[in-house]
Amino acid sequence: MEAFRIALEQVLSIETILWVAVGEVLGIIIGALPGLTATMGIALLLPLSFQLPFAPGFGMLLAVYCGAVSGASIPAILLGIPGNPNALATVYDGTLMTAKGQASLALGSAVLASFIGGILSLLALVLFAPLVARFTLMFGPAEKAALALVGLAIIASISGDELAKGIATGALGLAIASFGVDPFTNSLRIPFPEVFRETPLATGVGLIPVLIGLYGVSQVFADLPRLSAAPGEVTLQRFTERFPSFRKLRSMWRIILESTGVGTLIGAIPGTGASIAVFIAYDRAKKITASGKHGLEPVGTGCVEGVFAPEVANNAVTGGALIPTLALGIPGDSSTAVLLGALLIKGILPGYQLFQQKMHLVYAVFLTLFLANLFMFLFQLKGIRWFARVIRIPLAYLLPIVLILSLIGAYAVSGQGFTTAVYDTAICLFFGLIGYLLKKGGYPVAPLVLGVILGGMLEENFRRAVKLAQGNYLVFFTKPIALTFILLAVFSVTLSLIQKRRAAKTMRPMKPTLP
Amino acid sequence: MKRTGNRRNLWGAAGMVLAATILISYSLTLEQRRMIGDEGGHDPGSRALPLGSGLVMLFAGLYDLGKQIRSPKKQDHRKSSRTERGLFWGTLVGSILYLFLLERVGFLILTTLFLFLLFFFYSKEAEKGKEAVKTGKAGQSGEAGKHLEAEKDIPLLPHTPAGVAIGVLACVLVALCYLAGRIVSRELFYWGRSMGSPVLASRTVSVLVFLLMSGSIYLGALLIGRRIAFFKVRSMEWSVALSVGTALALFIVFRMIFRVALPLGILDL
Repeated sequence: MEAFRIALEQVLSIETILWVAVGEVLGIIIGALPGLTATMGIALLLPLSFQLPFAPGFGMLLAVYCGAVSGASIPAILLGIPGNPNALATVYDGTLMTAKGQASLALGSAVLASFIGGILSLLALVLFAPLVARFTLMFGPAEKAALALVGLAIIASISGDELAKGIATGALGLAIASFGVDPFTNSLRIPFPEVFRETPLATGVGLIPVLIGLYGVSQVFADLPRLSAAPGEVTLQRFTERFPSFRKLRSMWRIILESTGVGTLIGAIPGTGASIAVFIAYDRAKKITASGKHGLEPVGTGCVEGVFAPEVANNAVTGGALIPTLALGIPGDSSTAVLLGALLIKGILPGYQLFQQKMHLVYAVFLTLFLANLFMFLFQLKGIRWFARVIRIPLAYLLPIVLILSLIGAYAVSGQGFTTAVYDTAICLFFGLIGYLLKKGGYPVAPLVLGVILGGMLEENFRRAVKLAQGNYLVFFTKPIALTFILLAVFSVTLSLIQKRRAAKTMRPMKPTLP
Repeated sequence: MKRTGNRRNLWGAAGMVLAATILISYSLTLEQRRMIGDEGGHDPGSRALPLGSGLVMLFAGLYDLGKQIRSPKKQDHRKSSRTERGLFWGTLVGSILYLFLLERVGFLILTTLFLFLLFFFYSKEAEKGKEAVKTGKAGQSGEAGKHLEAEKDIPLLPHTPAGVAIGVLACVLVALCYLAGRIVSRELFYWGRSMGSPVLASRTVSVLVFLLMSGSIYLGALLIGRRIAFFKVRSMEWSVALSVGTALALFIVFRMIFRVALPLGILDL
């Protein structure tokens, strides 16, 4: 109870409320801007959160996460362009509703659905994260190494089109994590040690500059060809606060519950993410409404049900993805990978010890996530006409701001030391270029990030496990939990591949007819 | 068109193989050290992770390379235009120069100048899309993201001296905003200390006074500029307003609120 009281005090402070509100507004704006992702938004605000105490800093990042996931529905409904992959399935019924002149109802439904999905998945997080964390008590080095490998293998197989490319970038991330000082022997592991021995590079590359470079700078380079793209036309109408009736909501109970379940569960599987969950939820809603019974309109005809299902699911992913992040230290998606980075930078190690010794921080996460969902609902509800205008901001003005924010963000991490700060900024720029080249070559960036984050955990536990097993590398297959993890990875990779194929199948016959 | 996409994937896979080879070679040059107390030599050693990662990268890269050679994936990549390539290299070189000049020139002036140039050139490029819509080349509305080839590439240097002059003007404006805010907030700080008033000498008051002074000059300059129709080109007006505004906002947040040591350069009086 004492831990809860401390967390409540931290969260209800003016500072936390203010920064969560700032994060929420920025998150919705980022989500509403086609091409900008939640992950990029979180990465760009990492340096600010680094300067703040835990509750306002992490709360702000969570607010960006929730806001961006929810805000993506605005261009999806009004323009037929999803703000980010989270709103891919919202496009179908959303644009059809806009064409029918029901844009306000579609936007209102998306906001309400996001709020319901976010709150229900938060409940799941509160219930399940401590249980999963307790499970980690049984983990030795072999289990921890297997877990890190599993997280990496799953994200590598899912984040790109091709498995080999994901594995290659994941391995590249591990190699980058190994730069610097060997954790066991203190020997230097850097190229050209004679040159770099006396520079900040001798301690390895910082996580924040890498993250900002990969998600911020690389996005600017990748978006340059879009500058000369024909701008999409959006007619801004007078938006009113319109929600589906209570009766309608009651009739959609099954859609809401199933979408929440799908979103939370998919979110909790490391490496999956919202883009898969929304299609499964949409597909389920399509089947539920096919008969047209209980006052439900068939999904795919431009109805509230078709907006509700994916929007409940994508926000349910936020809570679900935080379960493995907080309990196991394995992120659910690329956004939570950056959030995990934010925790590690603050010196907070996820797992049972976090729940045992720093429960006030866990409560602070739960409470700020609630606050973020609440603000997301209120801000979108009251400011929908303003947020809808955001999609008109030209890319020519956005890209330079993203670039300068990335460079200054990386610089700010070192704060007082000019040389270290310039090195960090150079690393950010370098990784921006690497991220851009990877994207151009069709390589996913998320496995690289996870490799950098999990590299330390993997190496330490792998070496310790092999040493304890007296050089026996088969130790990972003889320990039941480690073996289970490896089998789980194989299972979830197969499952997600099947789901991807199913989602693609669902997508094909439902191409939206744009007005 | 499609050839470009296939070649890009092929080059990507070849690049990964090359990176893996470099990584493996580098790993082999590392000193193999084992953890203290490992008399049995069971620790895989400090070379294990970089070497292992390099090998995994190499196998995955070779597999991908083989796949690209055997059955190149058809992707609809278009070839980038000369201007696009210019913008890419300009942004990259500009960012590197920004890093090198940051300490000497200072954050405010350099950021304003860098942003002004980026806004200016990016807006020029974006005008192509708008022009194409006007001339009906974009097809139906809502076809956002469809790339268009413009009649001719827009040159990457300001074609009139006015462009350079307005860039300088933006830097002068940011310097004026900073100096006004700085002088008044510093005087207030000294005055507060001599009067023994902790409120006047506090950081919050300094930030607020700085914001008020610099904000007034900024908004005043923009209003006057608009009234006398100083900026003939709308994108130029926006470039000045956004570059100065962004530089000042970042300065207030990072330097004044979070105490990040952003260099003042030539404004360090």
